Amino acid sequence: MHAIHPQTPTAAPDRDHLGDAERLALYCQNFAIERDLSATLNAALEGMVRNLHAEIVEVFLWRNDPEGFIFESARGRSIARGRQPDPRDPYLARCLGEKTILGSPQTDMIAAVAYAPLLPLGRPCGVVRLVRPLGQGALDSRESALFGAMASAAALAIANAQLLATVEDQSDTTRDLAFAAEIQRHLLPSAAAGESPIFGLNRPIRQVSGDFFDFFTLPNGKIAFALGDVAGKGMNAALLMAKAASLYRCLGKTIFHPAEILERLNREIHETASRGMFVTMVAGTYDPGSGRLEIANAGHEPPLLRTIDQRYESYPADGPPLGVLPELNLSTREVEMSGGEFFIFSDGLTEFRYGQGEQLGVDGLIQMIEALSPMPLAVRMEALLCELDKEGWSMRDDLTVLVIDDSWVQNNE
Amino acid sequence: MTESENGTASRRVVHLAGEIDLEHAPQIRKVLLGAVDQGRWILVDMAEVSYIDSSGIACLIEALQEARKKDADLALFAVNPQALRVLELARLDTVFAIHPDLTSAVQAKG
Repeated sequence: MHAIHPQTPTAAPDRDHLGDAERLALYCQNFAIERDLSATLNAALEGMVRNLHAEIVEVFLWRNDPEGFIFESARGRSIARGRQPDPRDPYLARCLGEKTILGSPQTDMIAAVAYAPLLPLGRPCGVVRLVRPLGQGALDSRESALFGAMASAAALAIANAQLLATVEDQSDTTRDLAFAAEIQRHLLPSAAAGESPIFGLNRPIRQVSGDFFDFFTLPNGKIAFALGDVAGKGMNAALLMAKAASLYRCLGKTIFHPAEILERLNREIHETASRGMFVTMVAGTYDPGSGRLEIANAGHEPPLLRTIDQRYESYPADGPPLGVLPELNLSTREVEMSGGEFFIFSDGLTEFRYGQGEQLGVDGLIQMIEALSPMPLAVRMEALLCELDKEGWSMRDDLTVLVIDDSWVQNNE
Repeated sequence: MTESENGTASRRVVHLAGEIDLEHAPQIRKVLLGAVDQGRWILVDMAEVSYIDSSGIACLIEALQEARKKDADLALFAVNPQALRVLELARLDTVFAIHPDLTSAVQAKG
């Protein structure tokens, strides 16, 4: 086995070289329009069989693992004769290691064989093995140069097809995420802030959210509401969010007792949640006629009541989040709003950080609400988010806020 | 985030440190589930955990749920005030056994 050193083309190429150039150009044109990896490879191999008078041309792709070379594809007459490709041929590794074309002359019994490395952008990708028919002799220098050029073009085409496949995979994922985000948005109520005594805001940190809120009017005139926060971020949190939100919307229309809804949700979520996933959640009902709230809290950040005289009361959880234990035993608490405002929020709000410093925290949130207090509540919440959009603040988690304004009924009668 | 593990065949002490968040959760999960797989009594040292988010808590919950499935015990000890506040706010102090230090954790087991 010896390395073949292709001839340097002469300044005025003869007809044979011109023929090779034309063949190479045609060969490359096909690659330019081919997007499929196996079609690219087969086209490459067929070109080599035809132009280099080969009995068979085989491609072995290199994997940088104990398996080493893996037979990928072959073209030529010998396939029909049942020839078995041999990925353990030691010359494959030598060809790739030396990054050069190797060739062996034929003997009376053994056909001439040539090897060309596939090195797209210098990265070892595989080796092409070309076997000539007995009697055809080894590749001459011109054929060897053509073999090398064809292998280089094939290597680039393979790299392009692989890159295109990766890009298409990524764009599929991006499209799927956009659909998921759209479906999630439709799971949230669409009432605009200021149009009812209750409204919510949701801002995912990624494309999809692990938070949700919901509210709807019950037959008795009360408004059922909930806000949930699924542990984690991204798609797994979003899927559990979709489940919890759908279950709430279904159960919330037949069970009017907040603690009972959360206990039922807990059983459903615990049965199917995996990887320690859990949901912190507040559920409740609001009676716009009396200003009375009923709420239950499973492991969620305590909601805040801002009384009409600007005092704040918090309502901590009285049981762990949904999905942690098989059974929960929660209580429903009554809150007299008396014209006040009730804020339920995910920890994405209180975990906002300014620079490298402290988190906003509940105290920081209260200060911000008070600083904006002359504005109507709906405007105030938008202004609060605008404030947190300013330079210096960084968001660490999905952010959701649900607000009930007990003064809305009086102001809009 | 760093973690290390020591203990006898049945008792495993897992030391967690640093920020236990979404980025480090896969590694923490592996260590905790490995300890649950090999031990009957898992004690998680939280002394050097500076921050824990819901992804980190999910790792602890999964480890606890797996431990209960095989009738093993899992307890936390030396939880710093910030992480303890997070656990208490979510009422997870009613789910996990939480001890001030390793000695108390061992004594509580009797």
